[in-house]
Amino acid sequence: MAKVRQPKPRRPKRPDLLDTLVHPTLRFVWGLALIAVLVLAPRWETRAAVMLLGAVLATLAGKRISFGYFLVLAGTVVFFHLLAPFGKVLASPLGFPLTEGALLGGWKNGLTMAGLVFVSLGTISRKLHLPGRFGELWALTFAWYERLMESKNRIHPRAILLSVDRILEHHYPTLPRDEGDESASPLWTAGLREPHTATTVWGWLLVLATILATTTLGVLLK
Amino acid sequence: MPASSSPRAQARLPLVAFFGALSLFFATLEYLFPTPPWFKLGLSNLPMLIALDFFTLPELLLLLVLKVVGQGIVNGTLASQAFVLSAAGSLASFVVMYMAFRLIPRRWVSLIGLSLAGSMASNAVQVGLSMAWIFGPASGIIAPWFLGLGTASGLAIGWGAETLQRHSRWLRRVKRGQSATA
Repeated sequence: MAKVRQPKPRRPKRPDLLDTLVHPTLRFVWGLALIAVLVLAPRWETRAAVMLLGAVLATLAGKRISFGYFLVLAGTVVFFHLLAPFGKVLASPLGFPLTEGALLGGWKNGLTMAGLVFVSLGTISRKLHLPGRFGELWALTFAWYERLMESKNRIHPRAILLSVDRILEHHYPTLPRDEGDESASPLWTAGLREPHTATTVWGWLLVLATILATTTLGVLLK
Repeated sequence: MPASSSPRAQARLPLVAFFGALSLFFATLEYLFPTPPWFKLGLSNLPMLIALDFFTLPELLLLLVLKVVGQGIVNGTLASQAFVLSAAGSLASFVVMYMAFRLIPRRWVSLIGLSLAGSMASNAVQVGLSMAWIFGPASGIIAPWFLGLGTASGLAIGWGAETLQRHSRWLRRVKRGQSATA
């Protein structure tokens, strides 16, 4: 008798704790502010701090973070920077110069790449509302993006297009909805305009404290 | 709202938003592939290529704005020269791909050809802008590498779009959904 493969039980979705503290629009602006600090900070230490903060926020937002993936990402960026020697030579294994400038530049860029994704994951809420009709479309785009990002672990490197196709099929059911099949309702007809809470005092404190702390760090380490 | 406000066009706007999100998603997937830090594969162009067959010009322009600005925000490059380079490259690529798609019969040009043309336009504009405005003429030293890699990635992305268009179950469902609402 053929063995029936049981589907792997899905891990329960973790709650978005930030959702109860910060209004989605303020959260979006908060993310932009942190991204500005991350991108403009001249020192890698500041970027590392913002990246770690982004990782904490993403975790609080209920996202699952793969640190291995980001280590590979940062390592690749550093490797390619090392191919273009720049600055003081630290060592020359097999005659190849490992330079301080290339190493620091690569490390800084790797941290930035990882930080950008972490901060985005932590601060882009699917309940984001921007004013006007364009704002509605914009919110919808980001809401879809967030849902797609949640599925990125289901991408198989050996069958990228096939796995992406299955993800798209799962997230974007386009056939007329079967009766009683709530999972098949398109995002914009159900669930998008969920009510959201106003920012609480603790939420404001969290937003202001993190922006102030990272900005101060950036200025002090300049 | 740049797109038409007829009821049918309104009903199609969520699909434009979904394609916008798909572009952002593909832009994130770029990190799965090791590339030199100064080079982007342009995976976010794949949904744009497929979208040429679906949307009107205003809808495509709206998708372009969602793609470019969305990438700027998600990647945090909105306030940098990288955003200007990306926006200029995306616009050049779109203009070339759209013209080729509208003017050349489909039997003469595949999505691979369209992608290649778009990729060449995008890379040429970015190299030109880098040399003229940001890094100076010395950056021309990477131009052959940049254009060569751009050609390879343009071919690969075109192949991906062509494969997805031929074999995607999701696209078939979208098309059926579109014809049902038409």
